[in-house]
Amino acid sequence: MSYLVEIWLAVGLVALAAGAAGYIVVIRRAGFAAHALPMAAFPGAAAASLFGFPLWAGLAGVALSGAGLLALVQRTARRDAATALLLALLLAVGALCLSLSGHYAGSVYGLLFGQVFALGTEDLPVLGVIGLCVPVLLFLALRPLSLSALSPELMRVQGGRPFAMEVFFLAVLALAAGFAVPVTGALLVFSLMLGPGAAAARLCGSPLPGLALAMGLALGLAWAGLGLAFLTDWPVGFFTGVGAAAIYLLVRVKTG
Amino acid sequence: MLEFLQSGPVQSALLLSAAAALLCGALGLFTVLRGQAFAGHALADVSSAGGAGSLLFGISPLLGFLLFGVAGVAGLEILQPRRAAGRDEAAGILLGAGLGGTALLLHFCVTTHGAAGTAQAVMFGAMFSTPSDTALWSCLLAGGCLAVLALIARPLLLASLDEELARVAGVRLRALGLVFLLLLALGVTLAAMTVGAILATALLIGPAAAGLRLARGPLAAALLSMALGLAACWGGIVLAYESYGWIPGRTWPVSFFIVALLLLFYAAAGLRRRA
Amino acid sequence: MLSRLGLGAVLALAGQMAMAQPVLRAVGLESQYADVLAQIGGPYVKVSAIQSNPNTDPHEFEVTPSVAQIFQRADLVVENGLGYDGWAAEMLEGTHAKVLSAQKLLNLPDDTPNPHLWYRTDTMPAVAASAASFFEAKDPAHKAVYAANLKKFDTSLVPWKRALAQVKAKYAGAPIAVTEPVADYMLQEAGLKIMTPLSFELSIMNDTDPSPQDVAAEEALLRGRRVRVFAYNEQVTDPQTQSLLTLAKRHDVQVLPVYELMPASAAHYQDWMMQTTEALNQALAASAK
Repeated sequence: MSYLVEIWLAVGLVALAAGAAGYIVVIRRAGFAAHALPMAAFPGAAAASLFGFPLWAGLAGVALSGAGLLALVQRTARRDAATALLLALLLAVGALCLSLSGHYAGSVYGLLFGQVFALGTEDLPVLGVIGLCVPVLLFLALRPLSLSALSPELMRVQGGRPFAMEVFFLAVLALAAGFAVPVTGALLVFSLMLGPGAAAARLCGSPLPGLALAMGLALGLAWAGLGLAFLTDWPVGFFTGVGAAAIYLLVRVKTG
Repeated sequence: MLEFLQSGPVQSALLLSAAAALLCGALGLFTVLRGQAFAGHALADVSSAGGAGSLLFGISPLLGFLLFGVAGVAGLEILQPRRAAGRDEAAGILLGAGLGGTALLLHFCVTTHGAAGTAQAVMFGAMFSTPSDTALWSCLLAGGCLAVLALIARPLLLASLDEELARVAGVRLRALGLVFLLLLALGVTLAAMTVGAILATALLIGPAAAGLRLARGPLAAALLSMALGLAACWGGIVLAYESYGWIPGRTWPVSFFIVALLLLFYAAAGLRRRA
Repeated sequence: MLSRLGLGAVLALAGQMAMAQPVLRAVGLESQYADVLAQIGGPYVKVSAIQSNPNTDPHEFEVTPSVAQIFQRADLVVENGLGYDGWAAEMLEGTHAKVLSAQKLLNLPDDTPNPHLWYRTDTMPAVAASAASFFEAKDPAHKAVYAANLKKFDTSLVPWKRALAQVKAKYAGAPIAVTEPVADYMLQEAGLKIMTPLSFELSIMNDTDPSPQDVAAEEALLRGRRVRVFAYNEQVTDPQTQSLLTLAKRHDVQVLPVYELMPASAAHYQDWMMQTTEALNQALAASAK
């Protein structure tokens, strides 16, 4: 019984972080980055296995350098093009590390894609830190984050630094996703981000209710998906992915 | 060098990667101009779900990939708002729903077929040994896509650069956008099947982004983009061939070399433009 | 009269089966381990196999809640190890189940490149013995049954080992080609010479790009008929291995199907191994002509 409680709790924590991050992702139009940065878990894990350093160091190192690289390239180039190239680079470096290590690599792929029902008690502290810190950090930085997204010029006039905000946001996104993905899988994290975030951005005009609504929607979607998965024994990623699309379409129809 | 060219796997890789690079290079120009890089990547991922679908429904993999690609375009058309700003989130939501659907299809494959075999989406390339009939089909399809793209290139370029002007000039924006998305889906599907899903995205965006940095006119940018894609692919294949034995018993993947070359071109193009 | 007797026998059998309530629950992550557990446990152990193909593209495969529930209730779980079923490790940590790893039973280091341990002749006897002593300790009432089943199982492997020794005696040193290292342990025990470059096998197994030289070497083996048998993984195929299969068939190289999980054609693990060994024997004999 305690086992089931753990899963509901863990998925709820991931949903809170994903919902909060998703709202900011949508208002900053960083959907592609939200898909690309979590892939850093793949080269991170592969490099850790090749060079023999601890897994957390590989995950954190590659996630942070990916975020830094993306922020730098975005300054001078088209954003989605820079993101696509970063994504290709991350996966290609992962493939290189796998090829050079010569081990059986099923575990590295497993690490990237994760298994929701495979989480154990020892994952809860990591997810707890992510689930609490990400919303709090984003809440504290909500004003500069939304201002720098809506009008970087205005922010610069006021003495703020939009580039610093971009680096900060991408680093939070990369670290949170990089550590959540090995536990729950990329699909779950990603599908909990964009759907609730986009719906909340359309329904709420101001940032604070938007952030709260996105977190609430993500939590509802995650738990509904989990419940349906228990009932049908189908994969939970199916329900969250399709459910996110349904929420988004519904809100689109309502708001016109 | 002669030995390199006489190797059967190398010949097949040179041919397939050329088809993928030329098609993706041309499509990529419009993709980058229209800001649809994420849509292109999402379509490649969704269409590779066709592997699982074709197994479940007992149809040929090529048909499965293409059907899922078209379904992806339909999904994007439904989800995508008219204004360009929301395209990013629509592509992301399509990707989430598509991967979720794949998870379900694979779940059915595994539970209903038991241990009877599963199709794998090809993440990294199989360009060194593709059966010759697939190679022929891919080249024909790539040629057909390029021809259609050449036909719509003019209005599409106008629509990509200035929607208002295009509308005034009587261009049917919605239909044109849909035809382009269909071509994009076909192109990335083809590339994903022959060179792998990772290289499909890299070849779509890398050469076009570098070409746009360097060239002055759109035609020059398109030609440059196709040439850069081709150069990266063939250079990568040469490097993969040369790297054999750098570390005994370990291979250097060709995907890595091609992506590295594309990034190098892109960075060099940025430096040149600034200089 | 005869049918009534038959009916009576069936009823009696059913009654006996109903009396033999399972007291323990065991899980084999791959169907071959589950099959061995069922043979040892008999009617007193309820055995489940996790029906996931471990080489399914993990990009798109998810474990479902029922798997978690099976693990929750299990007393014993047998895993292959070597990262082959690494997804289960974390899942099992919160449960009370005792975990037996084939890798640990065989004392293999973590960097052993080939995880397909069930094709070794010494794997299943070790797994069976450990499982039997676990069952005996947990359920002493049926100790004799478990011991007898273990003995029966070990005896049933003798024909396979004998057949493998016969292949070795006749064909030792014969060159063969493979796609992945799936059946390599068995092929090596049969004294055959694997001509495929190991780096090619690893690329196919790990889904990364192979080098052009390795592909050329592999194709040359088939095209020039320099190998007598081509062992082909029937369960995990991609365009690359399929084109090799076409090549092998076109050049009349004998094809030996090998599997990641127990194929439907085999009722038990030993039948499967026997089938493969016989197929290998026939393929080698046919290629000699």
